[in-house]
Amino acid sequence: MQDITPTEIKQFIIRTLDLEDTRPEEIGDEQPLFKEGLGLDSIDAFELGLALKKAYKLNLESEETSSFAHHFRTAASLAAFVSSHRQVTI
Amino acid sequence: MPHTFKIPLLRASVWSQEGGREASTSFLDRASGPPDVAFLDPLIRRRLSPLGRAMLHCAQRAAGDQGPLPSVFSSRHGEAGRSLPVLEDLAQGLPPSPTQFSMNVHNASAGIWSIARRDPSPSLSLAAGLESFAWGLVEAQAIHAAAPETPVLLVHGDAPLPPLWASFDANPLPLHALALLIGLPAIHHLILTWSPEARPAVADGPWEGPCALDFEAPGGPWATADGTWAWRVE
Repeated sequence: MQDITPTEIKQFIIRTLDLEDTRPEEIGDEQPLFKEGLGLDSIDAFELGLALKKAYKLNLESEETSSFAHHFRTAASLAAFVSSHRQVTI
Repeated sequence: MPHTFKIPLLRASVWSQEGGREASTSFLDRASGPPDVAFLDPLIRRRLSPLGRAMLHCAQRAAGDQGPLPSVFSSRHGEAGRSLPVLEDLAQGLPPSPTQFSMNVHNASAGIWSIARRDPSPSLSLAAGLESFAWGLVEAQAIHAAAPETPVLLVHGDAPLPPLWASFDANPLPLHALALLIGLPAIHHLILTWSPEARPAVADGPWEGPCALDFEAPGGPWATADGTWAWRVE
């Protein structure tokens, strides 16, 4: 399967979290998504995680829960994480 | 014996989906169309439901430049439109959306309002069936009477129930909201009369509760399970 690009992840984030005034190009690939970066919070993290798991049927069985914060740090890190764990193309 | 509440009003804001009566005065702001919630940070306002947007549109216009404000939020159905998807997910064994879950509570709009204004003043959210607006008025007036030097904000709103639950509301109202700033010196008074002994003759008829949409017009008497209500603005 082809890798997910950071831009696809940004579009997914904007759509899932109703970031009505944000465009994908306004989010940097390496910009932190949470807190002082894009400003997302813990509810967003849950929402995003559930939505990604559902949309891409992520296989997370071998994944340590403690590593999620690292993978969800930026659009680039999240794109790499989804690319390596997804089981479907959307 | 009837109870009469003379509620001092400083400002009012009404919002309805249908346009046509937008005429505003320094006392009353009447609007329709998309609610104006530009005063909220985009990261905060994105979570508001259509009802929450309408209620906070009115809250902001009624509150004006007031500082910390105690508030009462009233709504009959509240965020029922958000509770249903949560229940549907649970029924199917799916994890519900965390956003829907966190925002389906009755004080969702009150919470967003206090966070956005950084206002730690007391706030409560109530539902009282058909009489939600009337009891909201009584509650807000009670808070104001206890400390007359402090204005109190009453915010009321409702949206029709989702189709699955629609049979629970015999007289559904379109999406609407209203906010009243209660305080002194009053520009107008809302005279609210509650007659607990005056029960409707037909106990199971479709009772019409006091309607926030028509708050300017003399209203009532409306017969409800708890007696009848009437009001006028003077």
